[in-house]
Amino acid sequence: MSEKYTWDRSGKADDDVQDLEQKLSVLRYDQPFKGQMQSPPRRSRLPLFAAAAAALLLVGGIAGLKLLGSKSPGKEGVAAREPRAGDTVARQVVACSEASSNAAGWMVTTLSGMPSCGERAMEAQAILPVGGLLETDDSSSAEVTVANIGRVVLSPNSRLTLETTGETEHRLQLDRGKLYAKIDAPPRLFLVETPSALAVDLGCEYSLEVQEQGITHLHVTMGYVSLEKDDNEVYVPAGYMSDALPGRGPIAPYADNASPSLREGLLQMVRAPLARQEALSVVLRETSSARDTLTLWHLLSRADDSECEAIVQRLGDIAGAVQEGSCGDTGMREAWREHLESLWNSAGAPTNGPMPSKGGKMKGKKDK
Amino acid sequence: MKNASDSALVEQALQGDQAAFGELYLRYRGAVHAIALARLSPHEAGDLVQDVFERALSRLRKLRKPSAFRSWLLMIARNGSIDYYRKRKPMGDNPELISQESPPHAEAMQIIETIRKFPDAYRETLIMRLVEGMTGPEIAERTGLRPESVRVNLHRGMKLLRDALGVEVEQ
Repeated sequence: MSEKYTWDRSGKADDDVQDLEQKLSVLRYDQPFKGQMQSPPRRSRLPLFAAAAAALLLVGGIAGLKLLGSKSPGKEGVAAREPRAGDTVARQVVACSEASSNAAGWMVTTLSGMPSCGERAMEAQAILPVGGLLETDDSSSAEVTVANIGRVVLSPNSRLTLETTGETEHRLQLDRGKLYAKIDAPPRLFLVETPSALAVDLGCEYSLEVQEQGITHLHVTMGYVSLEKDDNEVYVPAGYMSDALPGRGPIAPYADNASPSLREGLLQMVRAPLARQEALSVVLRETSSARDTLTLWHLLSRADDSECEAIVQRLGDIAGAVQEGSCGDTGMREAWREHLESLWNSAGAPTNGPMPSKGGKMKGKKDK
Repeated sequence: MKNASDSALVEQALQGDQAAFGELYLRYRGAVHAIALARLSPHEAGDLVQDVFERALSRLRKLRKPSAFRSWLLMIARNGSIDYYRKRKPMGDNPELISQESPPHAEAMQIIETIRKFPDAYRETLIMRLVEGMTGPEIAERTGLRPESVRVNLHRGMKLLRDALGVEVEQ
């Protein structure tokens, strides 16, 4: 096989590849664009923000871009709020409007039972305004049309508030329960606050749940979601999950078919610092597949020297090679990512997306 | 205009420059089509290409960073192809429909069916290379993947394809 020819058609022609090119070129698409510009698309008049204060770089299908984050309040002109326990804080009731009205807000449709919108039982449909509360009991559920970019399904025993909606951001707060989101929009346009972390849509489909003790559980089924709390952020691709603990933020993502022991080990590493070594032993024991290397790679940025050695050894066992260097070294983690990417490719873990070079934004620090 | 950056073309398109958006279309048509063909029939893939660019055009003003056009467009394409696939099964699942194609198309679709069994990363890369005629450097440029990653995908994907076609030939 002529690799050069396969790569860029240089060098000696490869007969097999040429034969395939000839056979498959009949399917090439060469039609012109049939759409029309109706009028110049209006540009948003909101100011752009300096890179240092801006949100993460949009990465979409690019692997290996360095992602910078800023959690400063007031980002993008929207007043940031601390997550609040909606059950315990009194808030002014904002009424929902009838579906037939021209009121501003998002359309809510009853899927089962009788959800309440604006603290009143709703009919088949209603308009959820900014500040409005949507709540379901154990026999009800509802679907929310998120502007023109997707939908959210609110499961039974759940509660959310529409915080903001606009050209640059759509934000919900999930106080409790579970929602499923399917969003088709540029990255970081749709966000969901929970008590433990902020879930930032990067173009995807996922479920998000606030569990007992305030743990936020994320499962991504398409695309990517960024889960963030202060300086702690992880990028969770399709087929993976992550959890965020109150006050601690998210743990490393793990495959959605990983053992419960792996998840528990990752949680214990954060919850119980004194038992961290024991918890890491569990994690290392429970990681064995190509998909698990994604989890281990995220841990590199959170490991001290002794942990680093053990994690690197485990990665080497699975990946069949070892990259030298310390875990605090960005170059070392980048080298691991380059090496593991082909493993993730063959395992089916999507890498045509925002895989961070730092394994989340821990900068070599341990989980707190 | 052919040498203009994506950012510059997006900015011009936002001012109503149809030619600028047209250049973006020509630049990414192949990549979008490859993503679509990885799951859908040729007819559906062609429809999806038009849908994706129409959607991109209608939402262009929501793109906060013009330099992110590529990744944003390809995300729309992937999500769109998955949605299409879930609603309708591709022709590849219906041997009778394949047999109604002209012979060159039928043979090509059988190869595509083989490629569709491969992991996502190999699938799209192979289709970009073999169907759309893009070189490895062009694939890296259009997808944002590092050239090294594309090289690995092409090499391994091609090996899988040779092995798979070799097995079928023997049978």
